[in-house]
Amino acid sequence: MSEKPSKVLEFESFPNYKIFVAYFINVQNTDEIKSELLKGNTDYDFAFINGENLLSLEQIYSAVHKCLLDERFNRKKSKTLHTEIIFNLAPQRNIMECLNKFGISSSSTDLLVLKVLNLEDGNSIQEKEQELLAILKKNINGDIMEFDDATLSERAKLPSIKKNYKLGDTFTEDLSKLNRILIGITQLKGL
Amino acid sequence: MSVEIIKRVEQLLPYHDLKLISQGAEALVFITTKHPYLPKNYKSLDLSTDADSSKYIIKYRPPKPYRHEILDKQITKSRTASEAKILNKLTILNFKTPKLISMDAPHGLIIMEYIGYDLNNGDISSLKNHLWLLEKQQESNNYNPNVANDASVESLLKMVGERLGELHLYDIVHGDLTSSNIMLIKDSESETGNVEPTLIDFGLSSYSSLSEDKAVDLYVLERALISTHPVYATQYNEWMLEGYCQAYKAQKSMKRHVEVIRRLEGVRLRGRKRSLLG
Repeated sequence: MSEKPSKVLEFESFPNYKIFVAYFINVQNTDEIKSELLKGNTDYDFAFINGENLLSLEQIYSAVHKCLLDERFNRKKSKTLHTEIIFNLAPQRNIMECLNKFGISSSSTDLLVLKVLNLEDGNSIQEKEQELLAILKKNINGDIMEFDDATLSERAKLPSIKKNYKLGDTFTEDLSKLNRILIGITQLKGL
Repeated sequence: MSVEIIKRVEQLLPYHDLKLISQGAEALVFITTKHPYLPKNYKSLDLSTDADSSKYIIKYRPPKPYRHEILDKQITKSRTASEAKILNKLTILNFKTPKLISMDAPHGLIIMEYIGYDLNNGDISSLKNHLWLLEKQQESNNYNPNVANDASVESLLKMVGERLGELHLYDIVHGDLTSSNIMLIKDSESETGNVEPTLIDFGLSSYSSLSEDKAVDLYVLERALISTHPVYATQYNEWMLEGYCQAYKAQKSMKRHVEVIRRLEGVRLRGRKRSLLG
């Protein structure tokens, strides 16, 4: 395994934001994580995204970018950027339903853990990344994986994608095409 | 006027390089080399998006000062959204068009994939530019040999008709067909580098199963060809309609084809707009 299994995503059009991401599989303590998250424990202030619906990095980039745009123009539908990212990944209109299907739930075993950082506080991103990774390793009982397209598409569950995205006849096993459909859903969300 | 509009886009997209390539009454079209959210070295799962060429189209609908402000915002948002939805729908249907990448409907912005290539004279590969180039060659050749209406042009125009037929069979009408709203792309699968036409600019498209609307689509294209390619238009139109018929034949929907063509004859007599006198 690589030395550095977490990643920092960046957007040229939003230079102040850094997006910390790490991918965990075989997570054993989802119920505990969820209850701490609901309690508002600041060590759990991340977006926990169910890995089974994720196919590619492009999907994440597309959803996060949309959220940052909506944040800039004050058009977010939910309270925080983290919920908004989950909301934008999902096709459902109801925020709770999105969180149940695309966020963390007792049945999820693979988690993409993501945190939006607004780097005005002077901390260097490298330090911050190590700090966050340490917190996650302490609190998440699972195996950390390299966050890349290979991991995502391998861990994705196509039947879940078909069901949760309500694809019906438009579902296809051609991953590049499926990827395009999912990105379309994110980009057209809310219109 | 136009300088002001360009300033507005630059404000909305400060990190994009913008090259204006077309300006109409409704929208401005730019080329940019930056993807709105993917890093430069990222290779998309979607192999048909050629990351190396890294060119993207930005379509911007500026606010129209002649409309009431609130109404203008609604119209801009709904037209942008409707165009994006149709692009997305067509991608799902496997109909070749530029793919949607990102959008900001309230500001009238759509970012999509760039298709097409540069012609020999450096122009963008729209059907119009392609045909103009051939027509010019033909004239300088003293009409000999026939490059502007040879077999390759024939197959191109037939394919245009086929694409349009396929679109109509999905019950989508384009709404603004001209030879500059048809882009030629190089078929990546064929080694001979065959070009094939692709319809673009779905800004005025809508869903309709009416033969009337489809006939008007054909009529608008016919008129556009007549005014941009006056010398060869009759021949072009004939080929285009042949291809259009092919598309229906392939789907065994000749009944619907007959109806559209009958309508087309009516539309030719009265023009694009229906008489309001009942």
